[in-house]
Amino acid sequence: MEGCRRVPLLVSNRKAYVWNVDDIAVIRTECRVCGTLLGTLPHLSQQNAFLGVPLVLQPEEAVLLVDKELAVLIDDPAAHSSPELVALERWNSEWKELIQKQISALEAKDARDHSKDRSTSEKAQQKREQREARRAAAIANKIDTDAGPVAVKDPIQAPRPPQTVPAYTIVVPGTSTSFSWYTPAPHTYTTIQAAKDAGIWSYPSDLTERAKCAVFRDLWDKGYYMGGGLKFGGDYLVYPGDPLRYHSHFTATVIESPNKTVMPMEVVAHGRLGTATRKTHLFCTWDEKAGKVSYVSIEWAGFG
Amino acid sequence: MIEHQPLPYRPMSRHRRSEGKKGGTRRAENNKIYAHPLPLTFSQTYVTLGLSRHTVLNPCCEGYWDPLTRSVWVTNPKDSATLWQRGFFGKGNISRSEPSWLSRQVNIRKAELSGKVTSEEITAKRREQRKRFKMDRANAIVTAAAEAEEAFRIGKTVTNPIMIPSGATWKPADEAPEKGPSAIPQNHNKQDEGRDGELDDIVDVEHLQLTPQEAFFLIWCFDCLSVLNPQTAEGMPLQEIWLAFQTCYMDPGPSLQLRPDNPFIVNYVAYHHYRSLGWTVKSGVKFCVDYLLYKRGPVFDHAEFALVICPVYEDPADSDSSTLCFRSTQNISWSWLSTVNRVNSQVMKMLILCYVTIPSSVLVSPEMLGSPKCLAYYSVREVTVRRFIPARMRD
Repeated sequence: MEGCRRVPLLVSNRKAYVWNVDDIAVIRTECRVCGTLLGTLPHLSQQNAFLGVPLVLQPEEAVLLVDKELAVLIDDPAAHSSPELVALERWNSEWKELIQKQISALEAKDARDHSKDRSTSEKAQQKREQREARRAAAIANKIDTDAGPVAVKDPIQAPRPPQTVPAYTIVVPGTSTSFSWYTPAPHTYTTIQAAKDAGIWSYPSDLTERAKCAVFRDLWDKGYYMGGGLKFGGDYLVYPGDPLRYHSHFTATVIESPNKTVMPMEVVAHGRLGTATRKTHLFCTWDEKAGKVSYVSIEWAGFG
Repeated sequence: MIEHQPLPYRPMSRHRRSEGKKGGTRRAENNKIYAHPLPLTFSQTYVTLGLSRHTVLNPCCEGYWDPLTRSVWVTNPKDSATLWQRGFFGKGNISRSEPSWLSRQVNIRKAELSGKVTSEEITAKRREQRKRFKMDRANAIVTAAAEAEEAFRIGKTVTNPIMIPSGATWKPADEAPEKGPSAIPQNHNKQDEGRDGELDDIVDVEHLQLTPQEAFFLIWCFDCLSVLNPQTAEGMPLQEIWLAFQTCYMDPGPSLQLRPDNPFIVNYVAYHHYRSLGWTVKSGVKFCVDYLLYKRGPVFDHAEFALVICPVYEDPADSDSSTLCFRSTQNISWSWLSTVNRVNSQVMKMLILCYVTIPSSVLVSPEMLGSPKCLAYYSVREVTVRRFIPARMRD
């Protein structure tokens, strides 16, 4: 945070992602910005809890981090240039080498295990072989009688030699940083305006979005943590500390200008929801002319 | 011939059992008070040969139109009792629903005289206690946290932690002494002075307010309400009422052109639709919806359905040219819908989106809008909204 390294936010489709776990930790603990984990495991397509990387940031969060000089925006698709032939060949050979290494390590391990087996007991080994032979004969007989005269036994399927190619693990790199053709430097933008000029970022583009950024920033400056508040009928949930440690105290709704009409029904809805969920509702009004955010909290009072 | 008189006021109660009365008795009583679903009643005149002729008894209520509050004021206590008890029309202007201000005042006076505590006082006292409990709890939490931090700093564990009071364990530290038994003799003194006469001195300042939709339903469908012009105190004809109810929703200006998307008409379409199907329709503003639907009425049960009116324009051009401040379908955001749904599922109400189709202004000219006949061009469709929770709805 002390002017050392600014966290790279990878922008794709006008959304800011963080793929590096250490960067996520920095953003959360030092920059007090939480974001939302988005990644699911490949085999759990319906997973909706305990999500992993990438972390997606709300646009307000990304704007805050860049404005406070805590992060930079990187045009991620552009940073991945197509690799040259030499680089690709080198990567290919490294990849083959890795597989070879795995296979040889596996074979060495197999050999060790095998020798251990033999040393246990010669008799047991013989017995097992006999047992396996008997079982194989029984199965062969059974197939013959079951199939009857119609089914001709597939000659290829019969005695097949065991597969000799040993299994190996395919390592998929989590981030692109190791690739030689990944060049983020020329596609890095240190200000929101620069990113907007480059056409990779558009937030905030209107009064509502500017108001959201201003309210978010103001609450952040006061030391709060913010999370998404859609579930509780607001724009943000406001936490006094890290959301893993604290319940939120407020739900906040952003009102983009002091002249905006607030429907009585909105006051009723937020009053009711806030009381039911033990949160105070905040109406956060952004006054663009004065550059100030003012807050009004509502509470269910009940008269007579 | 039986003349139906509105019965005297009894405090409505749905879930509170008081004065040792059993729920069944209360219910039977309510069944008697609220026996008629509509202000119109029937008399039976027996004729020979077992044939009977029915006569409709019209209560002929009266009210003043007040454009400022967009409501019809029924000031006559008999009329307001009739409209409330037969169909739950209107709302007391200084009561939550039934116009009960006077009887509440009488009860308070009576309680004062006899030295009893009124329910309002009990509520106020409970609120005060809750406030103090919350303060105590907050203080205890702060102290405990400080202690724990201190212990952590030294490297010890807190041996004797402070009890954080819960709602069950907390007791008021000092019961106010003046609220004790000494209060009663003072009241007895009052009684001795013989101020019973005061009960009759209370002037009923409350009136029943009818929304334009309720009023028009009573006028147009049953002809049991006459609306008086507030300036001239003369009865307004139907045509004039229909126009007055529309213009009160429009911006005051020189060119008052009637539009088919007038909030009065759109709301009336929905109101009339559900009233015709036998529901008791009341305002839903306290649950951030447009209307609440009761099977019989607020006295008998909670509303089962919450209604959000979503106007749909047959001709999109009308939507663009609309100057009325009206939440159209396009303006209902996802977050608002989820808010409304959450509020209503918390109170066990089913959320209904009621789509009212507004006919094209080409089809319905301003001249046609000058009469209730134009209502034939409107239609209503309903959609039920319910939140789907995958984990909980499997079985």
